[in-house]
Amino acid sequence: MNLYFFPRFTATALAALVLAGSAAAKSIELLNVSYDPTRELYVEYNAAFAAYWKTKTGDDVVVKQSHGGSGKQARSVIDGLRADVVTLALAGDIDAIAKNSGALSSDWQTRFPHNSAPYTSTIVFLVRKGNPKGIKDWDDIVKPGVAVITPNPKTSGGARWNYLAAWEFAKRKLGSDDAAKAFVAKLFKNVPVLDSGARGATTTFVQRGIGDVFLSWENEAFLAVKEFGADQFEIIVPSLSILAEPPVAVVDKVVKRKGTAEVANAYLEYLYSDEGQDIAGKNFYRPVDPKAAAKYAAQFTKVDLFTIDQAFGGWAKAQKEHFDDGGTFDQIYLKN
Amino acid sequence: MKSPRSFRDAATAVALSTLALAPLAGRAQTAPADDISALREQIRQLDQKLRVLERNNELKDEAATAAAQKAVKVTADAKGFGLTSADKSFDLKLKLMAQFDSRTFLDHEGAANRDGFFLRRIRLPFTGTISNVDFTVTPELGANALSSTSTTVGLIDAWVNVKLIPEFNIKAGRSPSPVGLEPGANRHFIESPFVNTLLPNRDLGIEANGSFNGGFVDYRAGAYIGTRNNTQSFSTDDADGDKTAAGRLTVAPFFADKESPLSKLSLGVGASHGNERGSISASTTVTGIQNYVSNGQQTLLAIPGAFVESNAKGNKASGTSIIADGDHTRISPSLEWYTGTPFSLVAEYAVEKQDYLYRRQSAGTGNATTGTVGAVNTRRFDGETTAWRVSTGYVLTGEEATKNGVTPFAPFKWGADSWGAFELVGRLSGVDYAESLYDAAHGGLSPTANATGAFAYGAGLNWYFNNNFRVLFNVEKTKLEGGGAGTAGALSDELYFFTRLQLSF
Repeated sequence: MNLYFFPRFTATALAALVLAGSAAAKSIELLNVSYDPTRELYVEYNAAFAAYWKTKTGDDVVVKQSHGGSGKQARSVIDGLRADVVTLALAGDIDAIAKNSGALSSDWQTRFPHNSAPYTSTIVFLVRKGNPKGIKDWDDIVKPGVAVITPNPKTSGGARWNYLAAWEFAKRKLGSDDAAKAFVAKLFKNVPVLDSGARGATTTFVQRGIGDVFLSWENEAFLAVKEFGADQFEIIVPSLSILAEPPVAVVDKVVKRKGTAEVANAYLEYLYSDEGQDIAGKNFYRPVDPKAAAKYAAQFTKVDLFTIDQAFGGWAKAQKEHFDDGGTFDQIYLKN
Repeated sequence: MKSPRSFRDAATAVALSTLALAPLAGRAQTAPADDISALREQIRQLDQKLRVLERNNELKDEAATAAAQKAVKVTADAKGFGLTSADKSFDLKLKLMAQFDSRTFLDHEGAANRDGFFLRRIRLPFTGTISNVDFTVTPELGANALSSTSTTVGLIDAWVNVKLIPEFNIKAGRSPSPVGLEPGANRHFIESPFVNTLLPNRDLGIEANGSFNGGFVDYRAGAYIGTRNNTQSFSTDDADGDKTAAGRLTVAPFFADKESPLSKLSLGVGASHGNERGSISASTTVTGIQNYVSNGQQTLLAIPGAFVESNAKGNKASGTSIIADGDHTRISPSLEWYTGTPFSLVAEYAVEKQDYLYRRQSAGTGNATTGTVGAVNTRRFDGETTAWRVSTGYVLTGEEATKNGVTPFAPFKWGADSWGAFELVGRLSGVDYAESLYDAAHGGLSPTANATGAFAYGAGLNWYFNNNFRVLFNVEKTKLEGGGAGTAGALSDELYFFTRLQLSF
């Protein structure tokens, strides 16, 4: 059979398919790989974004969530988990993805406003009602007999913020890195359980009843009080803490392959919208937009905050010195 | 072993009991408040230690579970040996199908005694899924011909199927042709019926395939090299350079009603159309047409291919050929009904229409200098061949008859009164070869020396030991129309008793 018509037939069929596809509403699925305590935030935000996107384009978008320790999540993406976007606890974890997988460029942090951090948070202490151990500041949690709950800095972004906040407090108070290292070593001697992520550590402290103080993301502490009642827990704000800037990024390699670049970018951009910022505030994250920040200012205690750049010269440096294999955490924890 | 939680509860109870009994020890009424506080603190510390122990064990379990979920899964079961990645995006399987046949022809009036043992098929399918691509590579070893002195080794299947959406996927490579029913549809009997001799077995090409409404409508459509009937050759069938369009549409009209006995009834029609051309050269003739065989695999109609091109004077060579030379169309409607009960039924019909070229060269005369070139007589004609079959089965032991066979309620076990499953099968089939092949003005074949058609009826018993091993017994009688002792083992009426031992996993 002479199949001269075959290419024409194929072209016509493909054109029909394309036209049929473009005429119908699309159903799009995104995967947001995030860290532990953002579950509630993104459940609410995903619904809001889906409604926004439907109104704007007519397309249905379903955002699947994956949560875990920030470092573990980054490792999963490096190992091939097909995340359209990552919303992790610290820039160092997204840097690691860029460096080790090449799935996004090294300038990813310039893509969105505020260094791609649409909300901030900090580290506070969650103690049991009545604060039976009288914990007020970082000094108090290194005392003998105080059981401290914090996740493993090797796998949890929140734990790394905890670690560095304690380090900087001690350095400022005691005057040297050596003294800070000894201080943090004492702190980790008081840690009886090392969870891999912040949500697991919350379970350890809140539901399993272990420990006297939980070094917690601010939003996670508020959530525990809200969920389990102010008659069980109190939030203690230390004299000094760290400004945590959980960043977001589109995983270019994945969205290019899946054809989801437009919606993935819109998904992260919408975090900066009035609705996105309001949802962040409602979920106890500190909005970066001044209007939303003012709206929710009353729920956050004022605290002296330092940044990772100011105290440690950025995440890359901090990661290498403290958390890479052989860093100060390994020296302290293996010794303990 | 007690769980940490119960251990903690027990220890706490003991500690509390100790605390409660403390007053009885004589100090209670005068015990200082400090002592009681100290005891309470000890209990609190003990409780914390036990909670920590319990939580650390819990974390260890979680880590172990997470590690197990990430681990590659290795399986060895009735479906073969497998490797599956934790996220199931990589799934590889190595399978085996081995068929050992015994053939006994009960009537030896034919040209040759074709009794014997055969390693009919030994296949090692390597199948898998890599991300959204399915693939199969199936090497085959085996020999169908009694006279074969070497083991046939080849690739029976080699294809990839890129899964896009359920309604549209792209498959490329060598796979069962869409014109006929899939190979499993012949499972009632050991050998395929006449219908299969009119259809290609495997074909090489690219196709679109998909399924609508979860299986209500299935389709396959593509361009192939146009393999000859009842063969599975590679690119040699594309020597004419023309492609063949082929496809199949299958509808399961009662698919949605799972309770209905008709839910697994499917009606289909396959078709192909292409331009097939044999070739004749000074050294060889390629007819482009496969010889037609009986259900007992004996040649019924051998297409002559003896013509050899010769322009040399005095060449005494002579011969006749019939080669494919033009349009070749096949249509094959079918019905498959697996009722969800022990009963099953498969019916199939095929018609093929082929354009032929007849060429005959007479012997030359004289010598190479003064002699003559033999006269060449050619003529074009077409012919239509039809075949049909109805196969049915009933599982005596009550199991459901499925497309893949029967899963016994009680797999065979020696001495345990457990015998597996037994299925009675029957088949009627027939074939009518194109009349024009026998017409003196066209193909010129002798209707008395070649079969012009055949009708066969047979019965059998299939014994399923378990999901992996079965033994089949078939008796089938084929009555020939026309016929007589042909040139390639053709025979008078055929009566055979075949047995097959089949192992598959």
